[in-house]
Amino acid sequence: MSNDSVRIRSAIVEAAHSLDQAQAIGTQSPGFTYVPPTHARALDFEVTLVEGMRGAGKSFWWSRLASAEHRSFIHDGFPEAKLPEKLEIRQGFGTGASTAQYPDAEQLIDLVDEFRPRSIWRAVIANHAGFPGPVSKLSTWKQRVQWVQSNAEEYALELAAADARLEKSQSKLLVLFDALDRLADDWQHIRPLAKGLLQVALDMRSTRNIRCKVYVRPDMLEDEEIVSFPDFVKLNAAKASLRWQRADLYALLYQCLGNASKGAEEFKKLARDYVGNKTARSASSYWVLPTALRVDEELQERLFERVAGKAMGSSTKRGKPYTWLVNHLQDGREQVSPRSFFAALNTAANSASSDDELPITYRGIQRGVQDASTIRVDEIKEDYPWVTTLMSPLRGNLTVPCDFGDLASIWKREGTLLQLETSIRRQGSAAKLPPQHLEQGPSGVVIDLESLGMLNRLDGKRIQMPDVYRVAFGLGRRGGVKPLK
Amino acid sequence: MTVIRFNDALRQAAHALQGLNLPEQPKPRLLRDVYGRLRYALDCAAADYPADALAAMQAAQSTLGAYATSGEVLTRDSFSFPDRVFSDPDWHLTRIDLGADEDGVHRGEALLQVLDRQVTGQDWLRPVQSAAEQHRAHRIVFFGLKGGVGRSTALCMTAWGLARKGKRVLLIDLDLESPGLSALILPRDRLAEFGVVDWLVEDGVGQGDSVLPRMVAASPLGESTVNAIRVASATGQGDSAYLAKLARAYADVPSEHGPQRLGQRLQRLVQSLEAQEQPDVVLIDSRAGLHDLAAVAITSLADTALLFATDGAQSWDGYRQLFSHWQQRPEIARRVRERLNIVRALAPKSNREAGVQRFQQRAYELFSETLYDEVPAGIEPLHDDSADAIFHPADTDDAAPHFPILIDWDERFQEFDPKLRPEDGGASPAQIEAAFGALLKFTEARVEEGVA
Repeated sequence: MSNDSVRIRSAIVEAAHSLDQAQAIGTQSPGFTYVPPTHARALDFEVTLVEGMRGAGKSFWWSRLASAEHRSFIHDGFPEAKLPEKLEIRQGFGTGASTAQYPDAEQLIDLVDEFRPRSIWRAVIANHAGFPGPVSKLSTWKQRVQWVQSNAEEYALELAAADARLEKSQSKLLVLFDALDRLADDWQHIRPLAKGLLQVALDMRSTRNIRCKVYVRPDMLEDEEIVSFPDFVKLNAAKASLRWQRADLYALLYQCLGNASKGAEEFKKLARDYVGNKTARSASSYWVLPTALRVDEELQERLFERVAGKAMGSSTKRGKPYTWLVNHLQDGREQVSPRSFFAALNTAANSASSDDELPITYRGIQRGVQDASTIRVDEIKEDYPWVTTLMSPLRGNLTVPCDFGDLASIWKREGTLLQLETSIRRQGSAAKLPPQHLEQGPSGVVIDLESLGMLNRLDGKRIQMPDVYRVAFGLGRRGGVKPLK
Repeated sequence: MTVIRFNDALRQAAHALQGLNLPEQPKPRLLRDVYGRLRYALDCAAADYPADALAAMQAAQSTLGAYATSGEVLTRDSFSFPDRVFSDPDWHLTRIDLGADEDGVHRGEALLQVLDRQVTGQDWLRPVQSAAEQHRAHRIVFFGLKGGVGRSTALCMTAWGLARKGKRVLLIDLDLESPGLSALILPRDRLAEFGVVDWLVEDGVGQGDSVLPRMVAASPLGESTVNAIRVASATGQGDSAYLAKLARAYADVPSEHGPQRLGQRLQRLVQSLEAQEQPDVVLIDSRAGLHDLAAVAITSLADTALLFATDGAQSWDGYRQLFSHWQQRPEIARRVRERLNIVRALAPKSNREAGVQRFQQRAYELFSETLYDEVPAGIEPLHDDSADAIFHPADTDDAAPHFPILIDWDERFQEFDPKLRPEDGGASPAQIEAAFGALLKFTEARVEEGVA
């Protein structure tokens, strides 16, 4: 086994671990940051709503944007993202920062019992905008929220003054919000807090130099109790999405490998075979991925062949690693999160043995995809507990592609939807996001499963489930060749 | 009593066995003659089989109406060379759907050894043992159910693209019944002295080897490429007796190991040409439609078989017929399926993305319902690349047989003369790349890989 392979292998593991701890900013190297061309808009000061599925990088950006060192790397390596030079960035809610910046979930629960949610978020803004008046003397969140709620006019004046100060210094203030599902322990408290936050974020757009940026999961933006307020439509229409194309995932991988503490030189030596000595011009001490390796899939694939080989087995008839990996992680909306991608690579790198020539093997990739699938399924069960109710009667009883009727008859026989309705009714308003179209019966929940990317329709008709979910939920595949007994 | 039709006869013959009290071994087999008439066969002497069981089978056999024969149940006593019959390679373990009973309840299916004596078409079920074979070039067969789907143009482009990449290309025209490839890629005056049809006739009288060196010509298409494109066309220079030769071309030819069938003979021809020309890749133009020549090309010659299709009922129904034929013999399906690759020919540019996705999903449904393995629910299939591993690629798997290679519709190529330079109305390399890029990339990768 070559020494280079071992070092590149350890670089993969390092990158996977670093990206897995999205919030822990202290130890993360700025060199592990990559901005896909389509994500530049999500960094735009003017874009208030940024939606992304779980693992798409919401918390990543929430923490990296708040770090001056990371911002300077983005300026340098990704000028096309047009990050404003003079920008003050603060964190308004998330997991991982201190309560000096914002009230945590514990405090929020007390605050929301006493005050209007909007007042809470206004107080957070007041704090970050450095209102100089009486509010600056107050030491607890409760006092600050109290002041904001009972001094609406002063608040408005102070906000305008803060906007003017920023204008004068030609600076801008951006307040970041993340982890909205952690605002409280139950949905009956999360919903009003989230709604209040979106309203305040919208209000800030009337200033010139203060903006909020709210990272949110797409399904929250479908929750009527969160988004039913005037002008949400405006906010929603201008949102940005953290979608990852295949080339973006590999670009992120390569960007990380080129800056790993171990193995970076060996990796860059491989990369030079495809892009020569030219790297993107960079003033920073970190390596910046050359443009060709960001967008040229053919080049990316040739480089990946050096990492993982050419074929998923003895012949490419069983697939090629570059495409196989992403294909098998895709959900029904053809989405793959960087978290799934790196989880699979992490397993692949860890399962390589000393006999393997290359950093990772196709068998490792196969194992990695299974691990990533398990993680993905656990996440979805955690986020949408009703999915478990719908899926468990199907285990061992359904093969896909199937007709809608096959699916519906199992649910009918098992009384699944009734069971689901009962459990949601029992939990009342504390229930976590129920399926939005439950009242339409089986065809309604199929729509909800489709929008989660768990199901899709073949040719607009038959129901298919992507492998990333199918295997874990115990569904079979309909095939013409039956196993020989 | 209802008339028993072809399809019913096999079902009934299989179903009738189920009710009988028969010994475990030997298992009854079915022999279907060229008319479709059925007889049971037992690989043992009549005396070694219980007389009442034999009588019961005899009675069952006679209920098959027009598809019954007056003959007795076949045993080893029925033949002078029973070994030759019972070890015939054309016995296939065959799935027979037993249909539904009077109440409409499905009876399931039976799995029986069936020997189909067909007039033609046997070659669809004769995949070659590739392990025993010693050819080095990757062979790519171009097949279409119908003509006019741009198959020949695609073949020319592939030849040109591979030669440009420095591959030695040998092109063989097996479309004997509409010999046309050569006109597209070779001007008439540059045809070789002999064609494939000459070899088949001369081989019949034992002198095929003598025409081999004089049946390959260089294509002018290869004059601008790194390596030459060599062509073995269907017909030779100025042939005036083509039909008379064609009428004799498909005959079985005697050899010391018994008669050699068309499949074995073509196999020999391709191997001889490979030995003579030493190509990196062999491109074979197959006859269109469900003809024996195509059967040979796909099941016994191809390492990769490109199946040209358009998004129409005709394509889907035709391929379903062919795939179902393989599906009923699971061993054949397992051996053939991985070499197949569907090509979406003449893909319209309007509304491209939706069209492509629809085509891909239809192709997936066709392949999964006929040739891919059933993956039982609740069983975690372990990823495995051994030969008997479950084979059922995901619908989005771009390496899978069903995942279409796209060739865009471009009128420039409809009446295309590949010899023409761009300034004279020919296509430029960039235009060729735009329409045929996916196919070139695919074939190049296969050729690089060699023969698995």
